Amino acid sequence: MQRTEVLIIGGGITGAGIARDLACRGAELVLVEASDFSNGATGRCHGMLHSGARYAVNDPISATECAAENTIFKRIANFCIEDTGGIFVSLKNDDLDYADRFLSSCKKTGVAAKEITVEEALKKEPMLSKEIVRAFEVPDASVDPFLLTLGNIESAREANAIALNYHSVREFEINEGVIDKVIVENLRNGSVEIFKPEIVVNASGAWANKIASLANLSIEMTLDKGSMVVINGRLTNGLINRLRKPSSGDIIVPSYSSSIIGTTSIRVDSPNENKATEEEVDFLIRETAMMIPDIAISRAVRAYAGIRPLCGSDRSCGREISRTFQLIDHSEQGIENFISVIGGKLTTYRLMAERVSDLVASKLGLSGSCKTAIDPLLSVNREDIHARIASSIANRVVRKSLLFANDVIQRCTEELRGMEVVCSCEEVLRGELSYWCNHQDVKELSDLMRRTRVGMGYCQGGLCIFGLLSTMIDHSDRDPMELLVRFIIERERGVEPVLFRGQLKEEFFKEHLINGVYHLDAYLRGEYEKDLER
Amino acid sequence: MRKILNVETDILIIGHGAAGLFSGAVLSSFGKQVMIVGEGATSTSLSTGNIIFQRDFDGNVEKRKDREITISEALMPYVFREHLDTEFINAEIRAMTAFLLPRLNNCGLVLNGSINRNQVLLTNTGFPYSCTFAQMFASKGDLTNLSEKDIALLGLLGYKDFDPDLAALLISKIMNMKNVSAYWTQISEFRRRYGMHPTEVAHLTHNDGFQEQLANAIKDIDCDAIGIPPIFSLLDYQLRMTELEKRTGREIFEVVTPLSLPGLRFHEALRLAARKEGCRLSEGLKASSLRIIGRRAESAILKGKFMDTEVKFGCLMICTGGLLGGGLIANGNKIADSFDIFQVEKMPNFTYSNTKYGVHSLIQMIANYGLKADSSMHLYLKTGERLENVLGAGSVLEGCSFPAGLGLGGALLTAWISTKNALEVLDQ
Amino acid sequence: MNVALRTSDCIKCSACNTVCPVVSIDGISGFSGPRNLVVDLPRFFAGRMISSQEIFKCTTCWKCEEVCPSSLPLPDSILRLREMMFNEKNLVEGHKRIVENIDRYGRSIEPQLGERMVYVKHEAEILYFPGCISEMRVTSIFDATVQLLEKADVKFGIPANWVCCGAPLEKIGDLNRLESLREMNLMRFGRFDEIITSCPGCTTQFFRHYDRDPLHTIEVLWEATRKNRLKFKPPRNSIRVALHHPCHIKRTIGPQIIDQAYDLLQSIPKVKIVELGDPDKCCGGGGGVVAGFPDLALKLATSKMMDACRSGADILLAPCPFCVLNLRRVDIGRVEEFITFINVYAEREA
Repeated sequence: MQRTEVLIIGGGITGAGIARDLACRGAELVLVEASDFSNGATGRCHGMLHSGARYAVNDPISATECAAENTIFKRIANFCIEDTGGIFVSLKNDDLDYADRFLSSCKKTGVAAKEITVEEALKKEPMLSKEIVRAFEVPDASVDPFLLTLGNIESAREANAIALNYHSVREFEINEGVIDKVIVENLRNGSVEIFKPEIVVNASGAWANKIASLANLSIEMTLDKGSMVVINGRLTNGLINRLRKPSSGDIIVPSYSSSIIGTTSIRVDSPNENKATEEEVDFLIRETAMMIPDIAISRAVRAYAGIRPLCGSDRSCGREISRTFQLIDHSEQGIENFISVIGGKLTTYRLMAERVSDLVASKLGLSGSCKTAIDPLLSVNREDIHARIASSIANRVVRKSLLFANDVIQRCTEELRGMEVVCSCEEVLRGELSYWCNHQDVKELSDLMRRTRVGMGYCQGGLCIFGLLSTMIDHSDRDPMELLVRFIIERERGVEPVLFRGQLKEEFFKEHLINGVYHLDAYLRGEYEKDLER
Repeated sequence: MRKILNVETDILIIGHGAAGLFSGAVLSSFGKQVMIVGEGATSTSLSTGNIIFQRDFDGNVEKRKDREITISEALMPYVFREHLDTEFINAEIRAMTAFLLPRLNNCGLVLNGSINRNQVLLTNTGFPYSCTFAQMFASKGDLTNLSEKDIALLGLLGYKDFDPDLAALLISKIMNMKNVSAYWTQISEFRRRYGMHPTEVAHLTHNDGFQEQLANAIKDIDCDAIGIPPIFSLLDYQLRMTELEKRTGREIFEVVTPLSLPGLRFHEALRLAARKEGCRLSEGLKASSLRIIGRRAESAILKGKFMDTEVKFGCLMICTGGLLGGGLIANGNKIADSFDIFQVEKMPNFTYSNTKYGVHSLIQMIANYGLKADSSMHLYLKTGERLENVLGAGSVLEGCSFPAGLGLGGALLTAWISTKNALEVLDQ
Repeated sequence: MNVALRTSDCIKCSACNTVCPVVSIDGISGFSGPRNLVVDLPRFFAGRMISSQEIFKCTTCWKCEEVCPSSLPLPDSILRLREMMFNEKNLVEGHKRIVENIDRYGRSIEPQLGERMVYVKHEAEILYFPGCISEMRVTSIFDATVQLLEKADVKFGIPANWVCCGAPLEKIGDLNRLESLREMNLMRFGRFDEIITSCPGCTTQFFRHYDRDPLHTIEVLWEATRKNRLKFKPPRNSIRVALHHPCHIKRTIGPQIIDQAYDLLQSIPKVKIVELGDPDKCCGGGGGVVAGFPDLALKLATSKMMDACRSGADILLAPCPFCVLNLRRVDIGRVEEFITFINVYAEREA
């Protein structure tokens, strides 16, 4: 049994942000996450750092929050942001009234929007449709949610926090209005770990109600599915938004070598209903192609969906629910040491974490104050790294490697095959994989994926899977076929709705390769032994 | 202004993959004038070159989605479902193998094969990591009793595509073999840190210095048989492998790796075999339309980049391949043949009973389409009619395409049987 | 960028990299291959991207497109990137010389042996366009072609003051000069629609950009043979020949021409055709590589000549002046231009 001051349930950006904030204030804490960090809505979001402009007219509270956090974010978490800026565009039949209100609403909420001419917009974004009638420049940016979450986790660990992935909360033991013990299962080996926390923070996002129910409580929230499609190639320099009342198919976000188009809003009943459908894919492509026509002839590589944990439960339309967040102190419902946090956006995670941490700190009597708006998330000494390998490679690797850049570069340069490119879509080096394979958090091949971007390029792991497996087996005695199958299943999740044209052919080819080289179909039928008898 | 050249031939074969090339070689060997045209890639050249005729449905009845099928049905390409005679199929497989092997031998690639019991075990070079050792060729001898031997796998630093540790692990775990060991060696010209592409490797391997070093590395390893990565090009293959075996006193076999595209070498060997038999091979021409008079197809227009050819033929064979080869095309999952005149049908689905791999079956379901053919391999038009002199072979046929069908084995077998019908058509 | 280059449908099969002659000779660290250059890298750019000089190592052999399951226009994409990158002040040394030669002489090469005289002996019905190499380097081609056309009774004329067809400029991405050369030539060609060419580079150029009807000399001779205007006498002793399939014939003008070349060879008694293992492997002469990266071109040529020697042929025949030029830099084996060879044994049918 382990005693601690704070137990945080949920390793998405909210949980990670709270962990960092509290750890920096001196709290003793443990964070548990049922799968890998950022595998909930955080890892399935659009990757937008909002300027707030999208909410200026209809959701001014959110807009103000986003506008303020946007500036802070760019100061403290530079390493995971592509500060590309963005443009809001209206098309011919869009509500011109909305466009007029847009600028004044932005001013009122502190969002830095500026109208530009159509010519200027087309110059900045040559792929924009020629049908646009008005354009506004905003400080939107693209953010890597995996890096961000891991950055918070590592920063928390630096301040002595403990963070455990693949640990699932099974039970609360409640004693006289207090959560006395939390029973957690370690999914790596099936063992049970018992924590005795002073405070429990429920930051489990779409699963908040499930966790609350362990204490026989319920939270009023709406689960709202948003789907995105990953389009091959960077079609825009910055973000593109539709200038109208927030609807579906409004947004295009450039992210590394892809463009992510989104999003939809569909009410669902459980956090497991997170598959994007063919209809959603067709719709998103059609709708966003109105802004960037080339989307219609580009290659859709993958579709994915995340579940938004929105506050409140009576609205029929998910879009009408405010994107602000809600703190729930369950002492009002009879459990003294239980806090839940729902709602919010990736952009405002730091603010959410600050508020939660303030509440926790006051309950614990912690004296430290919040410095997360000032202290940068990570700082790495870059000089000696650049000296050792070519700067283009160094930049990329350093960015991804968080606090471990030195060790990663060392592996790349000193290991025999360290500089081999294993993933040619994302240019991931063998040394990087070799480092992360040894990291305590890494259990599956998809964990490696989230940390190095291997398999996230347009082949979605088709070719690099072999190199990936060969790196992994050096460091683990897991059954390689089991690892292979689980990775393939993970990658296949988002492929079904985009199986047409180029993608269909590619999946066919991968089938050829994987069945042909690994005889996967025979493995799955349990027929290897029979093959042996021939 | 597009020029049109006029050509005549006995047989026009459209499709230059395994089915097309093999059909051409067979028909040419019977003295017929054969013209093979093809365009673009082939699934054959992207495959692992592994030819398996029989999935192991030993003694059981399998369940397909809507009905139970007998073992015999599972053993052969779907197009032969009316021939439930296993004996017939096995006899044809043997005859086909007897024709194919020596011709591929002459092209330096396939060197030996084993036929035992009711099974034909054929592949070109090497084996996939997890396939039975028996399904493999080496430069001489029969490797069917490899499980009793000491096997070593040798990786070359710089050839990043082959990891002997991974291969050894898979083979020993999955095949329950205790005596597989892995080694690495460094040969001087190889750029080990950054990895080399298989083709640049093949370029370095034909010189004597390389082979000397490789032989020495092999001699240092105590084993009966040793697996090396696919480092020799087709033209050198037989010579190099035999020489290596002589120098080292070991049985040498080649291990298939993902990027080595062994199907490419198999395809090259088939091309050479077809050319040696006297086929005329015109690659880069796309079949665009057929001229049909009554119940016969008379000629086809083939389009090149700047010049067209009109080919008059006695018999036409369609071997354009499945989805990957471009013979069948899918638009939003609606499958059509590339001419849009033949009838496309769907084979009943076959789903694996305990697959965890959901999308695997999805691809299978898409792969179960193909051109409808009768038992004499004549294709059906969309109108329901059959033309007297148009036959099909290969993955383009209903249910023949990998992974639903038998892949290369199905392509070769359907080609073998189709050519008999083609000869009949020509003799009429 | 992939949409602009039309390379979105790549399935990452690596077939293109596997067949690329430059990858196999220079290594993936020297030339990263068509997939990396026009599929992988462009994904990271929404607009203009600058590629490195590496992109000029492609010989435009077109084999990558031939084997691509998605039929991606890989060589055209490479040429497009070269266009986008073209900067007169920043050219590879050899390409700088091409541009200077064009400006000074209207030819891609410096005149060394003086211009051939123009002659229009009869009332011409068709033009003959010799091209820079036949006229001023491998002049045996020019001489042989003129003789053969006369034997075949073809009423041809050579346009006065013709300039380079522009193919080398397309390969280095200089569209402006390409356009001015084209305009000049079109004026010289006047009313003539059909043009006989010696160099497949010129033939391809005329097809793609000139909207005229070009013919390779092989086609003309093949027709003439079918119409019994030519006959062939045998050599004194048997000769074993192998035929190289130039990239710009096999994969650009049309594989039919190669068939016609074989037909012509088969018409000559005592000439035995020997098969090369890989007859359409690039010789290294195309894409501006001879000028830009002469060592690379030599390596490719050496590989080809070694194939020829291995095949047991006495002579390697190549129906392309550029191929011949590059292959002759290798000091093993014997290579002859195709028409020049045919001319020795061809006679006018009385």
